[in-house]
Amino acid sequence: MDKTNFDCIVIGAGNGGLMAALRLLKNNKKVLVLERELVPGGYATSFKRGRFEFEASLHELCEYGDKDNHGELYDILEEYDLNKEIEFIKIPEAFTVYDKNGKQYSFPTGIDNFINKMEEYVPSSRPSMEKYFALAKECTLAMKYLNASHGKADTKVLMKEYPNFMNVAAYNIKTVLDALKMPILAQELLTTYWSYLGTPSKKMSFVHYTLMLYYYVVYSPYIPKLRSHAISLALANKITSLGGEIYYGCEVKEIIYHSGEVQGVKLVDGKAYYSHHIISNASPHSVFGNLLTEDIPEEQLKIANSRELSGRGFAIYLGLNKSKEELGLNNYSYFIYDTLDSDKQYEMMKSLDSTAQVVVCLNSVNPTCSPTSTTILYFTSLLFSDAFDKEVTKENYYELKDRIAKNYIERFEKTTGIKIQDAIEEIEVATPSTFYYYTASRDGSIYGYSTEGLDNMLPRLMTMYDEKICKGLRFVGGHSIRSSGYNSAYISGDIMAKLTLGDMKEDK
Amino acid sequence: MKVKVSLFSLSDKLHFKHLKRDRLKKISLSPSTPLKASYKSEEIANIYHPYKQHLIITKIEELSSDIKLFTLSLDKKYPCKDIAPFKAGSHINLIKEIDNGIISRAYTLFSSPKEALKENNYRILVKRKEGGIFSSYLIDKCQVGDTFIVSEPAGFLTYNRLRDENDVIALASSTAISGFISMGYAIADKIEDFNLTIICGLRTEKDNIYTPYVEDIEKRSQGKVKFVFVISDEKSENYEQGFITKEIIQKYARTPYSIFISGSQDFISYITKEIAPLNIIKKDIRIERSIDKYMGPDINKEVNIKVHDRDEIINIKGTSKETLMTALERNKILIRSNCHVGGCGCCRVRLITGEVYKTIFHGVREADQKYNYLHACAIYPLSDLEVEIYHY
Repeated sequence: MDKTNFDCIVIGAGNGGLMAALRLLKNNKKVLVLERELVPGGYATSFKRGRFEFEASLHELCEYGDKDNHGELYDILEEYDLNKEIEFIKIPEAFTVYDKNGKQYSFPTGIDNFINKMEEYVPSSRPSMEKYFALAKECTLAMKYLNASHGKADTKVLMKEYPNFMNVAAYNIKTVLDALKMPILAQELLTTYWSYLGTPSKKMSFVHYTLMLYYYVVYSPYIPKLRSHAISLALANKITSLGGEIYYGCEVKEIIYHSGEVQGVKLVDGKAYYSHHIISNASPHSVFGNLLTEDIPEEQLKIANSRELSGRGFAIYLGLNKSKEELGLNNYSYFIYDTLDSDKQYEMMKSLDSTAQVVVCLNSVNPTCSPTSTTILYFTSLLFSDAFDKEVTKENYYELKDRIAKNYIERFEKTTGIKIQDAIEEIEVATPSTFYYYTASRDGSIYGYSTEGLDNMLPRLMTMYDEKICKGLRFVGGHSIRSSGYNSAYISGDIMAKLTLGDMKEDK
Repeated sequence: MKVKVSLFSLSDKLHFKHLKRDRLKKISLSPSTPLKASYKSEEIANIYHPYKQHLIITKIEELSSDIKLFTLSLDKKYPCKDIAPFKAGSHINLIKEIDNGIISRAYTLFSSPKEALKENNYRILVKRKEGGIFSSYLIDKCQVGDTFIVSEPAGFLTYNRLRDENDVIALASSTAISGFISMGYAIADKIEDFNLTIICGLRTEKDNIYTPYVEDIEKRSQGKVKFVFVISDEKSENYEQGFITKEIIQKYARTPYSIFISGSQDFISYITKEIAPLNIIKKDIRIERSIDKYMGPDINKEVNIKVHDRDEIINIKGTSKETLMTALERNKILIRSNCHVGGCGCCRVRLITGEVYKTIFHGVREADQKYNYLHACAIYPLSDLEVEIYHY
């Protein structure tokens, strides 16, 4: 093999691409990762402004944990010796959510703590909450069985071992929680994390949401001490040490495709690299919209057209010149909604005027993340429409960014009573254009494809062996089979690499 | 706990089984129409962040014997239709291949951000610096028609109404006033709204080449922008005398105010000491320095540098008296660059083996330190090196 031929080319060193490359390297494949930026990670990165280093996107890792109590992500990182390499910090709380009147509800981790707290806030919620967590546990076990069965699940086993899972798996959260006779307020509080997946409770699969909540509550959320950039660099470093190549600053212009299979890629600078296997961290919408535009198999367009892009991202990063104690920032995450009814909130978030937000105070769990007497606070929100595209122009971009940032910051102050405006030493605002610029994700949507209806994780996983692929081309990242979230992108990256290894066997 | 959830009908389990069928059916019924190739948000990003701008000098105005004002427009040989917009106070990075290699330098934009977009050009003010290769090239050799590769505008000495006070005192020496003139224009053109007092240190009356711009900006800004020139080397009734002092600042400042500082390293060391007694909090002081002093180690050593560029290996010679970026550029290896101070991260490289000296302005992310990622513009070789670079 010469220097331009590889067993597999990975387009994009995002979370999925990095993890996929590791799996292939572990199986002694010759792998090239092409990344258009100079840093790995995609969304999993950090950036510096003045004396602050901001986390670009991570709020909290799901499905992680510790040696004795952990999820699948911990196992994967362990396989590459990375749990020791990367320093992680456990977050001792689940979340704090505010309703429209500014009433605050704070939830701890641990199932019993969580249920007890809910009983405090919503008397007589206990029976339904206990049922919920028992059902949640069954769902996680059922999913493990489904994943292990590689698309050949035995219905008899499912009926016998996971009957409740079978009953609820096709339904949305709202329907199932109603069936559990959970009081409305408890339902609303329980679904606080909905904005982490970007799909509200009547559109969101019960199982999909429940897995996330369950893992957070049972394993606790975690963050890497030196920002998500530390995970990305550790993964990239492992790739290099296993003999893989990562070429940074290399933007793919075209996927070479003929004779019914992929042949390689052509870069913007004209250079070409060849392989019959490509794992793309760029979404099907990007690939079939820009990188592979001729002779696209009809089936691929149908698959892509059956799906919707997820919410577009906004973020505001603040470096504050006072300590969190001086400012009164006591929590790690603040969910601030206009209404606790996620379906109503989702509709409101189709407008640029919405200021619903999730705010993280990094110093709350990572006190050395910024210099003494300073604080890092960042805001994230989603837009579920094309309102940004309609409003933004070449001329109003800076002004629009300032306006949006001001609205979010004022909303935070009004709801929490915590004054931060006078303490702003550094500020950076990210819009869908910013997210597109740094990650190339289509239209700056931050969660891959929307997980509404038949595009939630469960049907994605169930059809993964049945959907036709463009021969040699597989997708990782938020638009892949496990949808978005760091844990999901890492894990689906691993799964898709295994499928690619299977494809390679078929070649022979 | 044993849980039994009986739901809605006997067909619940069937619904589950049918998820697969239903999804595949939904796909088969979806159209096979082509996908959109671009979105508005993406077009905005591409306008604001071009990978490379190819510009051509369209006008050179001689403002004094050693200061020229250059106008750079789009080179029509390339398809790009618009220059990238910028926030007043930003700089661009000019890259040029000359006889003995490549040179690159950052120049703060002098233009009105609004006019620049209308006329589709950037203007930069260049002053000859002693021993400065690029400034001498621009002043002595550069002609209308010369072409440059230019980065997207960037920089952190820009105004933000959520962060900065309503009143800004801008302190500059000589041509470092450029970014503040641009801010003055932005206020005059009503695309920014704050009160700006620009205090600029000059040697002699003759050095005040800014009168036409000052008059235009002051007239149109309705009192929001004011210029104060301070002359050090001669007496004049029309100017403040001596150096910029805290007293002069206090005379013109209306509290509370933010201070923006731009200039040479000497100017910045002087002015930061001078304003210390004013007790202005850190967040209200923003500084942009141009590196005009040798920042390297006190040794002179020739080194071999093994450069990995994707699958190629290039061996070059360097010395401990020049930055890694200079060594690369001298050998015509072009990497991205922008601020040339050490913090923006564009000139990221990975040190595989060897030792380097880092300047006090070298700043990488915390995790980068662990894996030896460095910024080539602010490191000097101390030994033979092996580095991984990402060419531009």
